[in-house]
Amino acid sequence: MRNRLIFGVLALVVLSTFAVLGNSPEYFKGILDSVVKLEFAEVFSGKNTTRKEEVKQEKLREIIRRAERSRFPVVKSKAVERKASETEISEKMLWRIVFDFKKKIEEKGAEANSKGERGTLYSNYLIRQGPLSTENDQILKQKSQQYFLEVDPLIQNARTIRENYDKTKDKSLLDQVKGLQRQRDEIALRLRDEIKQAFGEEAFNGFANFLKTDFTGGMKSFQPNIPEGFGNVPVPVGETLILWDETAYPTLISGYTYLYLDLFFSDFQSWNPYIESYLVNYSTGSIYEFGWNEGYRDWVPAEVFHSIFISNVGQTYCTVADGWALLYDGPMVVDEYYYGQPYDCHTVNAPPPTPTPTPTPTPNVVSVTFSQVTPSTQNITPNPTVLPHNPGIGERIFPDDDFPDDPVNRRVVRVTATISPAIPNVNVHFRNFDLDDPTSNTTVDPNGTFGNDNSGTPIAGTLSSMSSVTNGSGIATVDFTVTRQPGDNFAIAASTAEAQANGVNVAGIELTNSSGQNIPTVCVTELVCRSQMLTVWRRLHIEVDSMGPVVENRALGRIATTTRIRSNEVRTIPLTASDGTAANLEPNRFEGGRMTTGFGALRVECNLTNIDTTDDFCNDFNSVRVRNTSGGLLTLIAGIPIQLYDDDDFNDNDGPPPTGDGSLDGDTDEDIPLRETDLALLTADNDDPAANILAQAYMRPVYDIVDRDDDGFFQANAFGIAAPDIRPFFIDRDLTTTSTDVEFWTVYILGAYQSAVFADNDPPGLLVFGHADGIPTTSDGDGSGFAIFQEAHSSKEIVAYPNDPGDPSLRHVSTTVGHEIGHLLSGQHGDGDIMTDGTGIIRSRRFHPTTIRRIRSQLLHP
Amino acid sequence: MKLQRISYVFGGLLAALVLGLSWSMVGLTQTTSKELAFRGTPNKEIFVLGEPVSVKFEILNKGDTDVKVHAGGVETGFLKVFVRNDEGEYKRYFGYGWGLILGRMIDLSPDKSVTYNEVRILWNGKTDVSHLNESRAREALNGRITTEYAFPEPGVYFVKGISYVGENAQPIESEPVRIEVAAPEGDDLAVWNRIKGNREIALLLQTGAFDTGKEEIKRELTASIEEIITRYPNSMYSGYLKPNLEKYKADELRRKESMERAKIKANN
Repeated sequence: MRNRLIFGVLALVVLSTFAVLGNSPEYFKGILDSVVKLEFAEVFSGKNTTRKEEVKQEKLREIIRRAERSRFPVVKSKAVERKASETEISEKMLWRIVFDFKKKIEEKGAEANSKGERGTLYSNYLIRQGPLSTENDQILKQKSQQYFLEVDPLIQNARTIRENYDKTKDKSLLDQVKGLQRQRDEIALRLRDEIKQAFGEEAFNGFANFLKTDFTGGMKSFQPNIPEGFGNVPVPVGETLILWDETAYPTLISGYTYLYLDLFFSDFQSWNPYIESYLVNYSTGSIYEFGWNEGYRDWVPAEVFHSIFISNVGQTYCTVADGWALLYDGPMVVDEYYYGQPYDCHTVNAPPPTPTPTPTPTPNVVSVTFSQVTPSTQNITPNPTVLPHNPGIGERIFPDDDFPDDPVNRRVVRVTATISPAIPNVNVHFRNFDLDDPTSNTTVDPNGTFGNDNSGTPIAGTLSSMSSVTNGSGIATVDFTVTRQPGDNFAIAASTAEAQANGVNVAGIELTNSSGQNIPTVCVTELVCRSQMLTVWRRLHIEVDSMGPVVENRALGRIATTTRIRSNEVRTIPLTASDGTAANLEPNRFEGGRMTTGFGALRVECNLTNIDTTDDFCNDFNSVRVRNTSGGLLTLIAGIPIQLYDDDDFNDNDGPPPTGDGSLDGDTDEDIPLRETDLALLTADNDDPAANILAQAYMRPVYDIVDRDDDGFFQANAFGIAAPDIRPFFIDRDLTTTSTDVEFWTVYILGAYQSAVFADNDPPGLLVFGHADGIPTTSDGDGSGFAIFQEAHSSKEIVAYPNDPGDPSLRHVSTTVGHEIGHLLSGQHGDGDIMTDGTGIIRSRRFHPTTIRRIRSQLLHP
Repeated sequence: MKLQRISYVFGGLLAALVLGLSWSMVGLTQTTSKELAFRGTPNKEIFVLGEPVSVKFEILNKGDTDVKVHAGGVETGFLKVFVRNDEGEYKRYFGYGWGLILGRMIDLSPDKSVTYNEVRILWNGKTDVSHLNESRAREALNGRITTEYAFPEPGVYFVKGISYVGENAQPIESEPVRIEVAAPEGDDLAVWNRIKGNREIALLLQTGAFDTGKEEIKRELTASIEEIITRYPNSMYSGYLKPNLEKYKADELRRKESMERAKIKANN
């Protein structure tokens, strides 16, 4: 409806124009006459016109004349040409024009945008063709809005007063109008000052210079030379502008013409500004568009905005205008001043060379890396080579706790994919995989070269998200949670193409793309990239204690019956306990031992290997068989105290020379150790399988429980061979709460003396070298520590034991330590190697693949 | 009448077929060496659910040459115990503390036998597989009893042992031992309802010891068991609980006093 109304009004205007033109041929002719007069241009425009300019102006006039277009009925008889003066445009006038212009170009820009045209041709004029920054242009826009917010009421008020004046000719009303003008001007100057402050001195001065030169074309205010009889006439300020935009293609052209009337000193007459404007292709001599507009007094300027046209490179376009001041008497124009014909031209530059369109490369992932979200004290590092099962591929992670009840989940790994080019907002797709166990041993890795052979769950770990968007550095991250089982391994593939990520497969320790090609870990243009293999390692925190010095490892008693023994004679000596009761000795315990009295020492004499012979007896409950080795006759008087020692000598220093001093004393006062050499297969922070038996199972010993108690107590024998018989020895253990901790694996090792009395090989029989308190996978998770029986490893005991494997290193305490820790990690007898073969003999100092498989694929915690 | 006769004949044939098949099965599974007799003898044939089953295994050398056999039994891990119910297949049973003592082999002379420590079967050592993926969990549980009790419900069971003989530790299977497990009744049922699923009490029944090291729990267990013994003195379970609790107490006392003495000596 609104469009129809506008169309109707325009039609009426056009019809009226035709009517006016048809009825006023003089008007039309007057226009032509005026525009052919070069001197008129000099009047209106303050621009210095050289000869070249004169030629251009003449040509423009010719173009316009050929168009024969004008609507103003020139009152030729009264037309007076005015000369421009050198007077500067007043500041208040200039800033009124600026605010008005800014408002208009914003409106025109919005209007053009609404038509689908490039409205920035208008709205960005002061940025593109002027010196304003985008920020200052916005400031100017705000100030312009504020100006009209304050001035519009004044204009409306002035218009009303003026209309009343026309009716009443009451001069006091004009004084009111002048008051309003002063208010208007003050507003303009105040806002100018605010702009100056907002722009800063330098930017403001640059803009002010632009306004006074390019924007106004150097035009100066017109100083009226009032002819006699014309009374006061208005002073015009106007300019033509050619608008062009070569920053985008196609290049655009348009024009703008305005005319203000200043100095409202025509107290009794009503002058309106009037302009006619042409947008001309100077090069082709054609007029693109004609427009006219009439303002209102000195309040509303006459102005014409031309439409937007596509320009041609190398051609010159101009905005040319004619300006008048029209004197009204009521609705009738009764007089006029013609101000001349300003113009502004622009030759369209050749477009900047079209940048060779460099093909935008599709971003691709060039690297995928790991880092622990909360780094462990043992951060992600290269996976060491531990032959034969671990060829040292990729990196390793210790995802377990740093300390008991560590609140941090160190299983979480940050996966970082970097794309090239490094651009933001690219979706990167991640996929996680369980690579093949790199060992070729089919016991450790029964499914051969296939992946999906991890033991933990989920089998390939857990990605926090299947995709992530890159940041400004071209980096996309997701979190990945590994499993806990040692030796589980993973790889992450990443691609900017989801289909490519979905096409990745596991091929042994490699990942292949959808074409079956191996995916590299260092990528350039590959569509999919992958991480290195990440392998889980676990730490085993070991607490070590040992018993204190030996005390009372002997039997005390008395000679029951006086007995004489000749030198080198063997006799059976009856004994009682110290209090005279039955001695109650452990039969044959003292085989190889010694009896001491106040009169000398006697060797316990027997040969238990010759069963059913007379010397197959060493001692029974109440007597002992001894040989007099003192070199003379001994008389053992009834009641004298004796000490009986068996052959215990854990460090081989009490036996016969040269290794010992020949004085078996049950190791009395000798401290029971757990030596560094005893831990030779559990060397701290070591990946050499010869020094770290756990390395084959992707584990590392750590000794961070520093409270080493080595003199808490001494017990010659364990209470038995069941867990409740061993655990009382763990009395000095510090970490008692972590034995079932799945995130902080701990074991306890106690250097002890001997197993149960029936398992210490005294008399020869069962000999237990060490004793764990459980195998976690066969006894409901029990198994937290073990005792190492040092005396069982003495040369005398171990050589005599039927299971002697012959290799001294296999009889060493450190081997027993490796064996017992194997139990705590779920190793079983018969597994082979250090856990013994089917005959019960230890065959090497390493874990058999069967044990490795048990540890890696079953162990929840030691 | 004729029909009845036919059914008798058919039934007889069927029985013969089953018997024949059973013989053949026994023949197939019987791997006892011709020179060795490996047999297990239960302490009785009928047990009550939750009652420890004791089996004594013995290897007899019937040949005329020495044969290497293991000197130790289940404590060494070289005597393994398998159980099956009436219809199932043999699954390995793990007793508390088994397999931790380093074994050795001895020469068994002709006509000599080695008798292993009595095996007490009740509570089964399971493997926790909660942390494993499905494939690995199946592997970990493969061939093993997965219930808490070796004989989890009333019925007929067979028990056999496997040991290793000779220089190359060849496996040898014992003859199966047939046992029956009956449902508890009366006082036994009342006690069973109180103790079933309690690992510590099962271990006391089986070994005369608790596994826990926590004194407070031991005290609570002791009180609970004493109350059961007092209230159900004639229960089969009380017949095991009473002596085993006394043994436990004596062992505890002995250990504690000994450790206290050792501590005092060390401090002196």
